[in-house]
Amino acid sequence: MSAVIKTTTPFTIQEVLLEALEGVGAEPETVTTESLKVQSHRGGLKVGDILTNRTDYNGPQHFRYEGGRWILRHDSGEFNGTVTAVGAASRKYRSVAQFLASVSEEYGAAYQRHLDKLAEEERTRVEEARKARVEATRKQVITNAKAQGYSVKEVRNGNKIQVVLTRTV
Amino acid sequence: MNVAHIEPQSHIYGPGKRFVIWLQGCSLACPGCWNEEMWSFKPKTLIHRDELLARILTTDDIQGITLLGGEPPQQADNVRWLLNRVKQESELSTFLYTGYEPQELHTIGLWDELNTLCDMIAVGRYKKDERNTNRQWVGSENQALIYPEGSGENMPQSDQNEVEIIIHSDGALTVLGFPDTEMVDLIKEI
Repeated sequence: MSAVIKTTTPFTIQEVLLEALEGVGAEPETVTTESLKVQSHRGGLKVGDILTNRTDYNGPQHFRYEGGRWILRHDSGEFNGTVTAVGAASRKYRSVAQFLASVSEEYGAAYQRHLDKLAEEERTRVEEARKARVEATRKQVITNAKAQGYSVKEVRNGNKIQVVLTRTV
Repeated sequence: MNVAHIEPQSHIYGPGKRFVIWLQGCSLACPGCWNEEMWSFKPKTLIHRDELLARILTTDDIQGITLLGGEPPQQADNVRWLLNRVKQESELSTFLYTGYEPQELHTIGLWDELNTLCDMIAVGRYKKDERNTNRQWVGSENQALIYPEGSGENMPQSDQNEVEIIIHSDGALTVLGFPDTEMVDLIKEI
């Protein structure tokens, strides 16, 4: 017999976690100074915590950023758990383990989208830098050529720029 | 064919926009040559002549082809074949550069053929003590530009200096033509 132990995905990126929680219907809400006035939890809430629509004996289950990751704070017994969102009222309460498993799965997909977005942003940044470099080169070529008395004709040819310089004697 | 470089749509090697091929290999070795790296006959880029012909014939908006080098007559069989096929299969004009003098071309048996197959021929060694960057299509005073009988080109050479600078998508530059020392220095600064 051998053990198979899988820990839940470390939820490290707030933006991705929020997207994942939206994805599983947990209606995430970030605690603000203002919302602290109306929200409560036996263990206490802090600005920045992420509330879900799941509640238990202690109050709303929520994520808190601790030790470099977001941790779900919940009552360990789960005996009094209910789902409070009106739209989800007919759903059966799912255990924390099941909930975290579904959040993990959604987080994985959201993380991939996050990576794709970063890759696209990086690709855009590199492409903008390339365009700027080409444009700077083009201006310098033309400036230098004109300073040397050349007349300049410029032709765009696909992704190349052809600069034809002519200086009549 | 052993090819050193191709510029599919250059503007400064003859009339109009042209498909320009620098052939690799030249034993004439003119002192002060612009393209010493094209002297070696070691293969640089080997392109089947059928493929090269196909590339020429599928290039849009060109008036002709120009062969230079290197020394095109030193790849005579392929050059003859290419010029023939271009003439047979297109309306493109043909311009060939050679460092040989007409008499030398006659001696090696190419003069008559080149006069038939070319619309323009630039002949003669490059002589650095006769260097002149203001002759538009050739680089030294002694070189002559010949329009063979029946040539489809009649645009005369002008007294002007021409340089073509190609800015590639990564910002790299290719410089073609007859840049003078000042221009070369300015380009190096970029």
